[in-house]
Amino acid sequence: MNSSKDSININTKGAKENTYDAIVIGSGISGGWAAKELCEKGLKTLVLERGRMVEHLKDYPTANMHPWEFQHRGTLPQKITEENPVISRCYAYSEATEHFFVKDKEHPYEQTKPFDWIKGYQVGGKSLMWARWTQRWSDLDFEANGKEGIGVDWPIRYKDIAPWYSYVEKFAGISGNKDGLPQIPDGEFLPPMEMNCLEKHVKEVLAKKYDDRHLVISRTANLTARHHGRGPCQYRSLCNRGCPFGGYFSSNSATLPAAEKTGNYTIRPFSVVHSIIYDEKTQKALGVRVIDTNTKESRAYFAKIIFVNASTMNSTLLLLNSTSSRFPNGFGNDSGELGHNLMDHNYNGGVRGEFEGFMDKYYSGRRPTGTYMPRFRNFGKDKQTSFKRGYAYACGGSRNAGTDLSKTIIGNDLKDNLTALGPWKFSLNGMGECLPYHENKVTLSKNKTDDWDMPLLNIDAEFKENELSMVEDMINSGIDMLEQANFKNIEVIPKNRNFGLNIHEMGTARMGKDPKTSVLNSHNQVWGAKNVFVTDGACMTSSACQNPSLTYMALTARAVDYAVNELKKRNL
Amino acid sequence: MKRNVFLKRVSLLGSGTFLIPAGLLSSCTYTAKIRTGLTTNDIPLLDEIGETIIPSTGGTLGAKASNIGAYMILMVADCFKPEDQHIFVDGLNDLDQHCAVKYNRSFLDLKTTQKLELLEQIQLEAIAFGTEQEGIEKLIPHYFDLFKSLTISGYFTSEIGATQARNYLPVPGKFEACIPYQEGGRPWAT
Repeated sequence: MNSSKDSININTKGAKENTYDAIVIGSGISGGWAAKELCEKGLKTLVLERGRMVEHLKDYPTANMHPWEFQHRGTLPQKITEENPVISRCYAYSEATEHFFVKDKEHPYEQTKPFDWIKGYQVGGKSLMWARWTQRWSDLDFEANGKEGIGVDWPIRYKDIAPWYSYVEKFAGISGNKDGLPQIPDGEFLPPMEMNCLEKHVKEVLAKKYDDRHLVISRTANLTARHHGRGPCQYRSLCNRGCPFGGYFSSNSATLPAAEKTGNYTIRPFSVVHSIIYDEKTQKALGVRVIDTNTKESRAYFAKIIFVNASTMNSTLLLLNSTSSRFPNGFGNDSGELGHNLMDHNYNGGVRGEFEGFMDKYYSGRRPTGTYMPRFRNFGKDKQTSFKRGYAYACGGSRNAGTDLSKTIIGNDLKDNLTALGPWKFSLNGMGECLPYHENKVTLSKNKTDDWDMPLLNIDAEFKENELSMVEDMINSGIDMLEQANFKNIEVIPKNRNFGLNIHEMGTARMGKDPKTSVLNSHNQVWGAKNVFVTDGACMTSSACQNPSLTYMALTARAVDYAVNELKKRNL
Repeated sequence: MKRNVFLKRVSLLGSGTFLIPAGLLSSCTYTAKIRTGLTTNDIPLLDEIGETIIPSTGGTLGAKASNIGAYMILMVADCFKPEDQHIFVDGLNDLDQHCAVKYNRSFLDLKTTQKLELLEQIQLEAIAFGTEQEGIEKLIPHYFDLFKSLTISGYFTSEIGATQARNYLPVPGKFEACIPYQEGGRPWAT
């Protein structure tokens, strides 16, 4: 296979037909942004998507269904969960959303250690089902590796990305409150959603009892006002079915239509990119080799700029599979770091409790987000000895039907119980940073390939001491806070999620300052192949503890701006 | 057909061993049914079990009206693990046995108060069964737990349960973070 890649026979007539200014590999959250930005800057852009077409509004078959219209009321049949143990562990996978998730058997991978790889192969990728939490990262995050001598230093600082956060927020539409907290800098926000009475109460109590526990409304890519012809959110909280109101940001609702409007956009679904074609003479990528998933035909597409946005591990799989005499160990892999330093957040520590009070209060509508407590560990005056970095909490107060009494009664009493409200409850769910470990890695399978002759990915990653110590602290601090706020029946939420299940896989083609220790430079440009950019989760140098998608969006818009300027200067 | 008439007719057919279908002899003594699986014949019984757990009251219909029996059969068949399917089926047999021993009638023929009394008694068994397993990681459910949880999930996700017993608002249109609530007011269905 390698030799054919080196000596690809380019039919000039075919090449002309298959030539664009730019190619974007993947149409998820970062690929959608690359497509929009490239098209709006006037480049004829081809977007290659391995899955099927999903058109906004038209292809959301369950979006308006009532609970009783689902055959099993949302529960997936045993046969499906048995055949798909990995995807069945994903919180968002249900009878209402199963058409957006890749089944285990369809795209297998090897696990040296347990890893739940959650995939969405369609136009829009996982931007259709994402959880939409969008806190900015700060210099607490961008400086951490350098200060602590862990992994490599980020080649950028907050000031480099801040204008691009603003840029993407203004288009995407992020609701949020300006809270003035340096660890999650304020952005360009649509009006915030409101906290309910228990959340407001907890916020006040914690502010009195601690000086570093700030409960805020999560910044969220749901539209609290009409925005660029989309939304507003109707507070159904059925987002991951696709929104008939365009109430949240996805590639399908926002970036891809914007790209299409320019007239410069071409999308080709059912197109798996097999490898990037490297040209020894120019030391740049010529284009990509694509396999049509229906016909299994292979053909090449050519462009001046290539953006790799296939999702963290698929981008790296593609790079690893793109070998040449210049890059025998994978595209841009002079450092040997390609495939290494895989991270995911650690969500295994959570607590909850009941509150006696506000019995005469309730809420109306289903707010599609929660409250957020940003990192307070190893920040400011806090110094931990048992772990580095820190975690945030996803928090929420709610009031559900029924009380514990319902467990021991039936008949009229049970019906009365379950048709009235029970007590208020509040939960704190830790979201911990994971350090970049060289040995947490992905490699190409030695002997297994998929239906398109691509090697399977082998994943070998685990949480280590630092992550596990942090979980203990998430639990203890959570209990402490609930006790301080007079909660009753406080309990630990049992969780044992595998690496990967938090769907924040990051790293494996990290950015850095030095080509000897990183795969990408400060503009997400591949060291050694300057017309190739990787701007999805693969590029991440550390994981922080904030949800990462907003940062992918900002890095992508920033990299496109740089790439097109370089192209104009004839540097690419 | 009266039993003595029936027996006379049978005797006319000759002597020797003769197998009489058990069902034909049960017109005055109730014999518990032995199931190895569920069929649509079990729907009336499951409807009554569901209706006893969540009955029609005052203004709102109960589990039976929401077709809880058909729902239970579908969910047991499609969404239960084999071990829980067995617990469910054996549980129906056990319920029949309780009826035979205690009332000598089928569950369907019991008075409403008797149905409630019997299921409350079985619920106590289920609670004790759960308590015995405290500390064990993988709990084995009692069949009553399965009847009850299916009744609750099926009823409140049905159109009747969601729109009559609770308050279903498919498109809220806005979020109000804090509104007054009066005791007994209906919760949101979703």
